[in-house]
Amino acid sequence: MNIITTKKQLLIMLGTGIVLLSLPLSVFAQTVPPVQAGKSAQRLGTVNTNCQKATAQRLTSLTEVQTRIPTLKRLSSSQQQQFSGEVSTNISGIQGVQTQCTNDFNAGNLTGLVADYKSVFANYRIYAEMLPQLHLLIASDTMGYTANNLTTLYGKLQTRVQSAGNPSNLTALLSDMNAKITDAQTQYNSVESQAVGLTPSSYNTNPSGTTQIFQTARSEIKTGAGDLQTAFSDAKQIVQSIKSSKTISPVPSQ
Amino acid sequence: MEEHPANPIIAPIQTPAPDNSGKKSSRPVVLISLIILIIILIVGYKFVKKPGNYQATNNPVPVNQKTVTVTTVPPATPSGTVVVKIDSSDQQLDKDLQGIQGNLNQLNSDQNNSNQAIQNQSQDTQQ
Repeated sequence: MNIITTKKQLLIMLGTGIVLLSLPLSVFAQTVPPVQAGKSAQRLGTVNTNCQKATAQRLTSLTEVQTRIPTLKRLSSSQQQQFSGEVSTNISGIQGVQTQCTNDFNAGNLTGLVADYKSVFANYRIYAEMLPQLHLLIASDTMGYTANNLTTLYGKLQTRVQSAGNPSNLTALLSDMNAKITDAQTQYNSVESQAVGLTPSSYNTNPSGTTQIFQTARSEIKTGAGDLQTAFSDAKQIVQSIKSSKTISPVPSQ
Repeated sequence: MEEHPANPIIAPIQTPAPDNSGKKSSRPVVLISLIILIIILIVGYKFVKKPGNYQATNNPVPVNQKTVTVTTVPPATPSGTVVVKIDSSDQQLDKDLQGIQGNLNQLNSDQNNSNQAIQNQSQDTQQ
C-alpha cells in the first residue's frame, strides 16, 4: 500500500514537475516572439520601402525612355519594335516585382520580400545596362540625323560657293565642314555598333567590360557632338558670306 | 497920376500877329522827310529779310548795325531706295540652319541624358 501510495505520489510529483517545468517555457515562448516579431516587422517594412522605391524609380525612367523610342529616325522600325518590346517587358516585370513585394510584405514573408528586392537589380539591370544603352542609342540617333541634315546643307552650300567662283575662304570652310561631318559619322556608327547588342546578361557576365563600353561610347558622343557644332558654325559663316555678297549699294531716287 | 498924352511916337507896343506863312512852308518838307524815312525803312527791312546777303566779317560791328545769327541749313540728303535682293534660296538656307540648330539642341539634351544614365549605373552595381 505504501509502495502504491509512493508510486502515486511519485507520479503526481513527476507530473507536477513536468507541468512546473513546462510553465516557464510556455511563458518564455509567449514573451520572446513579440521582440522577434518587432524586429521582423521593422525589417519587413524597411525592405518593402526600399523595394517600392526602387521599382517606382525604374518604372518612371523606363516610361520616359519608352516615349522617345518611336521618335528615333535612324533606327529601323524593327529595331524600334525590338527596343520598345524590351522596355515593355521590363516595365511589366518590374510592376510584377512591385506587386510581389507588396504581397510578401502583407504576408510577413521576409525571405520572399528580400528575394523580390534583390531581383530588381539582378534580374533587370535597368540602371546598370538598359537605360545607359538606350540613352546612348538615342543620342547617337540624334547625331545621325543631324549629320544627315548638315550633309544636305553642305551640298547646297557647295553649289553656291562654286557659283561664287570658289573663293578660298569659303572653300576652306566647306572642307572643314565636310571633315567634321565625316568624323561625327564615324563616332555615332561606333556608338551604335557597340551599344546595340548589349543585354542585361551582358552586364551580369562582364560588368566591367559593359561599363567600359559605355564610357567609350560617352566619349564618342562627346567628340561627335563637338564635330557637328563646328560643322554648323562653318555653315553659318558660309551662309552669312553668301548673303552679304549680294547687298546692293543704295541708289538715290531721281 | 500923370497921364501920358496921346503920342503917335510913343505908341503902345503892339504884339505882331502870328506869322503862319512860315508854318505852311515847313509842312511839305516834314512830309517828304517822313516819306523818305518810310521808304528807307521798307527798303532796309526787305534788304534785311533777303537771305544770303550777309558776309562774315571780323570787323567790329558798327553802332548802327546789329548782329544777326545766320544758321546754315545743310543740304538735304538725297532720298533713295536700298535694293536688297531677297533670294528664295537664301531663305531656304536660313530655314535649314534653324532646323539644324534645333537638332543640335536636341543632341545636347540627349547627350546630357546619356551622361546621367551612365552615372546612375552605380544604383544597380552597388547591390
